[in-house]
Amino acid sequence: MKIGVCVKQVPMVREAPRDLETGSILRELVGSEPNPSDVHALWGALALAEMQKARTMAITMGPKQAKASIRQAFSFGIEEGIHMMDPAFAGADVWMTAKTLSLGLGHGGLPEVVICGKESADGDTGQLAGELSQMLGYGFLPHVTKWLKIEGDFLYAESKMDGQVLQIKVKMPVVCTIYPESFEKKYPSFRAVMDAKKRPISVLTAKDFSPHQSFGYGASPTQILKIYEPKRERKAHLLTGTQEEQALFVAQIMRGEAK
Amino acid sequence: MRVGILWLHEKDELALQMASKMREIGGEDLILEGVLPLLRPLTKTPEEGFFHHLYPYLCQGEKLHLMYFKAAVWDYIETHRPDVFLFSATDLGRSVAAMTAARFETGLTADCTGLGIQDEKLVQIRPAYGGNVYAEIITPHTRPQLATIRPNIFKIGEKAAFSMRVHEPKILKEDLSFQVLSQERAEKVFDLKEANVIILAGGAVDKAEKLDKIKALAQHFGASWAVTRKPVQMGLAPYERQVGVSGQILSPQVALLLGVSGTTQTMTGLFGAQKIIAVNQDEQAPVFEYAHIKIVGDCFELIAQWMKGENENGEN
Repeated sequence: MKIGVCVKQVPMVREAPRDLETGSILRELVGSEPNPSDVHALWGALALAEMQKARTMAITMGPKQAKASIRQAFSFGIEEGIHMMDPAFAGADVWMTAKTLSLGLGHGGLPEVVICGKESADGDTGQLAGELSQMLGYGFLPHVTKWLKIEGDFLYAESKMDGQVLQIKVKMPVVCTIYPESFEKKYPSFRAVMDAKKRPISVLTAKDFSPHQSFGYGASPTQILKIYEPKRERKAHLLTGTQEEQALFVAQIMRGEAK
Repeated sequence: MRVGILWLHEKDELALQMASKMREIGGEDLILEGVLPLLRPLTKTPEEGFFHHLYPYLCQGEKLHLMYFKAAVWDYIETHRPDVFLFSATDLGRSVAAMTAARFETGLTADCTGLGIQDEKLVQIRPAYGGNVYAEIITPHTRPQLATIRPNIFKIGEKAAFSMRVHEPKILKEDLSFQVLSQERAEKVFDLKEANVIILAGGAVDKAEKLDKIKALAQHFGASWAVTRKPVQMGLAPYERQVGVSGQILSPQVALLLGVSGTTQTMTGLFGAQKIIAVNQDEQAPVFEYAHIKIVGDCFELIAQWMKGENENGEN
């Protein structure tokens, strides 16, 4: 059995320097980091791999910085890595990203279980795994908190959705997402981090696929009409009057009775 | 324009919120249809007036789960070819939406906080880059246009003057490749991102008793409480409640800031906030540069005003 993990390199939005006037991220100064919720996906994947003695691989799509996500996966114990890197892939929306990854996952044999993090820190949609499952013709099991067993063609797991804990039996092959903070956190040793830097990563470009397959923003079903800053009124409206009047005014806004 | 909306259960307020918004932007000519998987036939017509048609699906199986919702939505889309299909951004809604986008090879915009119609296309508005900017997104060529909608953003409007028809239920067969073996309520995990009204307490809250007053006020208004970095560093509040660059980045509809000085670190966490009300004793506090409404004064005196007639615990 083989387990594949989808990982992603994201801009460090949280720590990013911002334009003090507009609040915009100063993108040219922004570094990148492996997506935080993918770490939980790696722990989930490795826990299942240990239970099943399965082979493991990680895949990512993105510019050259994205290699860091594969290196991180190696340091955690993932065995193989695929990096889908081509300017043609850039600007893909969720659908197109899922499509591209579904093609890349077939490289070297499709995994029986594909694992994704809950969401990416930059796109923040949490939709990729569900789309990927249908493109691969796989089952879909979101928000896994615990692996129970594999019996024949079926995977048994616990999942948390909308405040319910579910025990689910799903036919493999399957795409799963991992609910954060569910699996034991095993951090890599310094040695493992250093070793991960020397390991080979398979690179796939658009040329590795059918010339009829289009990629990237232009082939994405959604298009961005515009991006704008939320309006911020620099001049606050000073609320005067007695404290009682002030309290009443604010209370109406808090209850949604006034704007 | 024909719009399908997923109903998660018979009293689905989120579906009504989406229907109200679509009616508001689409006008009377819009055809609104609800899609509802059920274990038993409807005993009475749910909330009349919002939909032209309701498409109930009876499901063969022990429990209503994700795959039945998926099957109902797919059957509806294949039969009726709507221009738009909307899902509430719950775990279930998101999962069904994602599978549907792949199945119909169409665009999906997640977590919309605004919707519009332009040139007969759905304009899907969502915060991007951690709520720092808003993006307007369209699905120009493929149909249906799919979106998940953040809960409790849209208000349920006046009932439109048209009747709702319930269709003869269709029967969906049990999908043995996905079975729910057991189901129980999980311990409630708190998520600030879900809150639409937030009370944010700053450095003025330097004692547990003061934070208790903030908590009571939040309960009074049905709001969620959060803090800046300082009260977390002092050990008064857990990290999950921290707003700012090093905490959570939120986009509530209303944020009431009590004793918050307004550092960039904190205010970055509220870039997406639609209305900021700030109370601070220092008229020069930077927080007032971000606020829409400014009150110069002692926040604890104001809290006493709000809590008049309630006991200290906020339980009346």
